Amino acid sequence: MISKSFKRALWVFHVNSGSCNGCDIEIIAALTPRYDVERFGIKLVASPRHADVIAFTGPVTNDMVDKVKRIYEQTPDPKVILVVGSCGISGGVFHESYHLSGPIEKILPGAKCFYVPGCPPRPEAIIYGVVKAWEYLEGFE
Amino acid sequence: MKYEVPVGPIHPALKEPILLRFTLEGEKIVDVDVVASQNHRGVEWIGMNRNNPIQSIYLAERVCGICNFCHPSCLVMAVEEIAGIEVPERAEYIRVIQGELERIHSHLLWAGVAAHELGFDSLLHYVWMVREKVMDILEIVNGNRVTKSIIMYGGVRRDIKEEHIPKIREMIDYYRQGFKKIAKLFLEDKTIKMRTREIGVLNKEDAIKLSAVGPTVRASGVKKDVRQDMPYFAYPDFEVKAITPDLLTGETIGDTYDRIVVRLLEVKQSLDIIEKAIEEMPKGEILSEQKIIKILAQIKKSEGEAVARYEAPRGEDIHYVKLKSNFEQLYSWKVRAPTYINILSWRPMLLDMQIADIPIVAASIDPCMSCTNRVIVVKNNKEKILTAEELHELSVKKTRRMMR
Amino acid sequence: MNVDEIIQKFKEKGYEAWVKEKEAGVKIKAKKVSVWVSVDRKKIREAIELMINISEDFPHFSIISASDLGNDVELNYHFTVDYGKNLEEKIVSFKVIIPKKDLRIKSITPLIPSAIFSEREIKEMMGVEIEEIPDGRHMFLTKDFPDGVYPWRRDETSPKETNKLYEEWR
Repeated sequence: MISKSFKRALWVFHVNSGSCNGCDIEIIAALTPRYDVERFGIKLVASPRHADVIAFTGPVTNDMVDKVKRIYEQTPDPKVILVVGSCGISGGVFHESYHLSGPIEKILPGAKCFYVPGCPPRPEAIIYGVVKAWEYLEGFE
Repeated sequence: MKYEVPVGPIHPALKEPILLRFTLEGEKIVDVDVVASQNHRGVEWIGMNRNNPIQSIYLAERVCGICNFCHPSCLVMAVEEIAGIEVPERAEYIRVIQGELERIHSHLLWAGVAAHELGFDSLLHYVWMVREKVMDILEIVNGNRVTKSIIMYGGVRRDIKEEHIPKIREMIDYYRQGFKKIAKLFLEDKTIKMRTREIGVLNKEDAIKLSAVGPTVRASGVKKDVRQDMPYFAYPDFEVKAITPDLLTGETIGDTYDRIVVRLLEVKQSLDIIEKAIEEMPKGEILSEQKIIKILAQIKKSEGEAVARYEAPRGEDIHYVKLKSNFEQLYSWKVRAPTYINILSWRPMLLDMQIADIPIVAASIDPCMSCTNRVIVVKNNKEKILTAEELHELSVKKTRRMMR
Repeated sequence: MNVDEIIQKFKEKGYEAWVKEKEAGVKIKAKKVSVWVSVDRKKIREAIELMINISEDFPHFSIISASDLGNDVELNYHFTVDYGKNLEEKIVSFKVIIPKKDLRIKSITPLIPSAIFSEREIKEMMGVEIEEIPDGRHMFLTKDFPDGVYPWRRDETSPKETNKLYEEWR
């Protein structure tokens, strides 16, 4: 239950760094009328320059390391990272492979991360993670 | 001028990172090239070197999260053939039901994505809301919505109990009543017809030469379906026939509209199969060997090789497994998802099309890849980068122009 | 065309061929038929041409799979014939054994255009040199993946640098 009133809407930019798509379809399912996150003002945006929260899914493969770093630099402050799924936390089922570059915290040290574990996490868990990030951003200001 | 155009401008997260290169002359596409290394996680290497065979089932599930029953099924079928593991009859029927539930959820997901590509966002939300019914049934029966690991060597892990059956029947009735409405929304809308008829045509000779599979090849008139030609599990009892678009529209052109028709008719076919399976399911055990240690010991002693094929929602899925005795991991394992052979058919489909048609044609083969990445368009040797969203904007603008 | 005729035609031309069958189904039974043909690497194009000539429709190409057998590399070319007719499809697999000292084989893309992705993958993952391949770039590995490291091999060329997490966390 969100009983506070938030001062502004939260815009999320989603990045897929080589995931299996399971977490991605649960993120989209969170926007559909059953869970309907858009009524809180949370929406997916098209460019990292407009975003407050970056949602990462997937273990970061070798190819996506530069893109992940570039997207993080392009996002204006204050920003928060939401890591969805176990792949970004520790590698998940893929944990020791020759084509992975490590979990998100190895690639972006010093970023403020919120973790949503699960493989894939339920849409309710993802919404809970976004709300926690939201509360942090509001407190930050 | 080189244009970089991203493919997969779908709602982010519905395509795997993949890079496509187009060559343009004027406004028409002349050549297509694919670079696909962003999503390679080394699944086969992990299965051959680090996991025991049961851990490889959970790994095979996460090759693709949308069609997550097909890959472990193929692996289990291949290992069961080599090791000579028997499967009880009730387990074969349950496997059929699980496979068809996955097909319904995948096709409805694709229908929403296709609607989004054309610019009809309200249709995306409507179809995904309708899809939640089958996700509820998956959760009630399996315990999880996505990645449920229900299959095991020698059977399935969970049973479909008596109290689940009325709920499954309720889902089948709900979808049968709603089917007419969805069919009308997709197939009789004038704008969707204008955007998809004669767009992205794949004719029959090209489809056969390029070894296309799944609804992509069935929409071009070739009756290829593994459930019809080389059935597995309990499918011989159901006598499944391949669906081609002339069953509904009377003609077969092989364009994007035909692919929508084939997928919607397959949802209907899956509902019939599930209903028949529930009525005829025999009673009995669901797992031939309960103790995991005995299963692992039996697999470790076996030696041989096998090829297993399965009809996934996107096409034919094939796995090759080789086992050696006294070697715990799988000695050789090759996974081929259906999309990697369907990508070759992007080339004849996209020739002579406009840039604004790229999203819907690329999505029409239902690529099991999340493309948040870019596509390069090479146009007379000058470079420019467009983002995925700009391509999506072009597609939506074309729809709005046609609606006037 | 039934299985015995296929085996006969391959044996006539001097190839060794055998059949494996598996039964499926509960009340009505159906058989899954796999034909295996052992081919020398210099004759792979002729064997595939023979299969194209004896089957009615153009055969369906599935995948090329590979194994490391110590001193040799084994490649399997998987095709299916007789699709589209009820319950008549058969898998035809060509088994080729190549010694590691001389890892070369000719490309089959002039006959089967859809084999290009599979051959690129075999080239980068197993280290087999495919002659006359139209496009020899990496398929799934990144451009800057180290040369001479082949993920599917089990000898000194297999990848050593894997992303070990837990060592750092201790």
